[in-house]
Amino acid sequence: MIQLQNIEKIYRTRTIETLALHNINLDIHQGEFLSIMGPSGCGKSTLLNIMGLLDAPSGGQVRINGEAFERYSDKQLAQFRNKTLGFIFQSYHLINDLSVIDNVELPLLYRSLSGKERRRLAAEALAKVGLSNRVKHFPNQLSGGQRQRVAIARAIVGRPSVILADEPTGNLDSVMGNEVMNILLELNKADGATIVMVTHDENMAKKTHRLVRLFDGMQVN
Amino acid sequence: MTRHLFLMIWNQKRRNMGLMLEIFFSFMVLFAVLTFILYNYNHYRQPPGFDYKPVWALYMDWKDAPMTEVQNVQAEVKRILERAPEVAAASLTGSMIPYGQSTSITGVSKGEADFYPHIWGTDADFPEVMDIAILEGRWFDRQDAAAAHQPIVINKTLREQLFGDKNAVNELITHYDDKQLQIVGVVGNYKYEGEFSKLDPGYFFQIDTTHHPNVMVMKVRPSADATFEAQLMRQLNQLAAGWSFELRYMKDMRRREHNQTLVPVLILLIISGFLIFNVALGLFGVLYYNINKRRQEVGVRRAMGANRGHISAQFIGEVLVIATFSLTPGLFFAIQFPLLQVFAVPSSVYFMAIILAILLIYTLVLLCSFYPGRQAAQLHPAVALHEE
Repeated sequence: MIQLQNIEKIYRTRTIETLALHNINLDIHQGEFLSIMGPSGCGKSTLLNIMGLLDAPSGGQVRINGEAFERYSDKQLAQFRNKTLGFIFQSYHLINDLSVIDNVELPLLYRSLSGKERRRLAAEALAKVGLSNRVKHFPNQLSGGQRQRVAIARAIVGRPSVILADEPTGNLDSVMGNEVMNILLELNKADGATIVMVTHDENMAKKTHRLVRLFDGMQVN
Repeated sequence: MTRHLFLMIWNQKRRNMGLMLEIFFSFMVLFAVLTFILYNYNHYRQPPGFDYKPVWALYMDWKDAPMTEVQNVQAEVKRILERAPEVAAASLTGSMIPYGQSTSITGVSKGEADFYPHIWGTDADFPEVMDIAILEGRWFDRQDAAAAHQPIVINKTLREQLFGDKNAVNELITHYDDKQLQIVGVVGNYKYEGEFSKLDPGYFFQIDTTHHPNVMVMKVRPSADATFEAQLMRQLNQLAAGWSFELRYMKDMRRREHNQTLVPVLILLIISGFLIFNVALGLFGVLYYNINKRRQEVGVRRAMGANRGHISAQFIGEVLVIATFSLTPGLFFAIQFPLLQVFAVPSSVYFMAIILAILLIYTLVLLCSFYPGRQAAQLHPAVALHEE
């Protein structure tokens, strides 16, 4: 499903060269729920960005569903992200000026779908995360857990085959964190979604199929 | 996508209120300026109906001289001018000459209807001096002085008001003092208040001493130079020592007259230019602020599948929607002018001004949002996502 081969990421300024990732090799299978752990600054989010095609590696190759992306244009990459990848962020990244349902519709705006169809899919996604009664609310009217559930609905509304979650429970208390984690587990189990989750929480990581640890930009297990 | 853009702006309406008001007022000012310009331009396009270029106007002030002397001196002045090889024709007239900045309006009636035409007193040679074409009938001549009814030559506008497209020659109309006026001819346009003036109705009548004939207009030949002018003035001062004479070139008089129209237009243009510049600055400011404040949103949209074009279109589209929200009430107010006929301006001028003002505002908005929109599109998604 996702193959990372010899991934390197180097950040260069005029004077400093920082090695963010070094020789990362990962093979993530379809339907797998993988967690990535490591201390702050070890390169977890960078790795997730590379998997999400939001950033290009300095070396190595990323393949998703057998496709390599070196020659993809900005348009092709965007289209691929839109169809195949769903993103969940630690601080939800919802648009405060849009209602819950409009936030969830966001990825569908970049597909040629009718407004009615977008509405239907967004409502379905919200039902899946148990927020059917909050469609007209705005993000600032919701609790942290509810916001993250909206973000999950947004990530799954386009039915992507891969969900990339960057510390999805990082801003939540344990109860809400568990709630969100259960939704992700359910998505993985019931829908067969491949999930890659960056986390700091050992307990959450234990619930996933496989754990990858990073330290100073290198895979340590 | 359009719904999404409207939704975004509708939900941010309080934040964008200042900018919306600025665009609204700019539209209203632009509408006013464009209406004024188009109104004047439409008049300007109509030919004036005479040739001002080779014409000089001799203003005569006879102080306290008796009328018999005035008549004699003026007759002699005309003779001098007609004899001069530099002068092609001369005509005695009142101060209501082209660009003379004098107006006289009278009341006439035809049947039950009253009309208020401009009046211009001249002698028989006026059409030759001013190169005025007679469309129907003839100009009055010296023999008309003995006619039973005062002969007049009306312009096309007055003819249309009085008779529509029917014949006007030889018809009688009544002056407000019950005197009958007989139409002997019809001329085309006569825009004596300048090319920017509208086609007012009016008529020419044969001038006499009761109408203060203080101007002699003359059509000069190319040989009329400063020497001729000096020689003429010397001759005139010798002829009537107590009088004062002033010679004006009609092209200079025209320039002065035009300035009176063009200066307010220029002032309005400066004001609207300043307003538009402010709107442009405001748009730039708001867009840069928006982009900086919404970097994370740009990252999210990119992660969700937006390409650079989508991001650019998002920001440009939002500003176009802001402009649309501002123009809607502007359009409502602007449309009242032709509907209620607030001023005597043709509806077509108002509609054209509305269309042009809308186009100008949208062009401005597009120009101002293009570069910031492009900048937003260039943001690196991974970096933008992690910005607070």
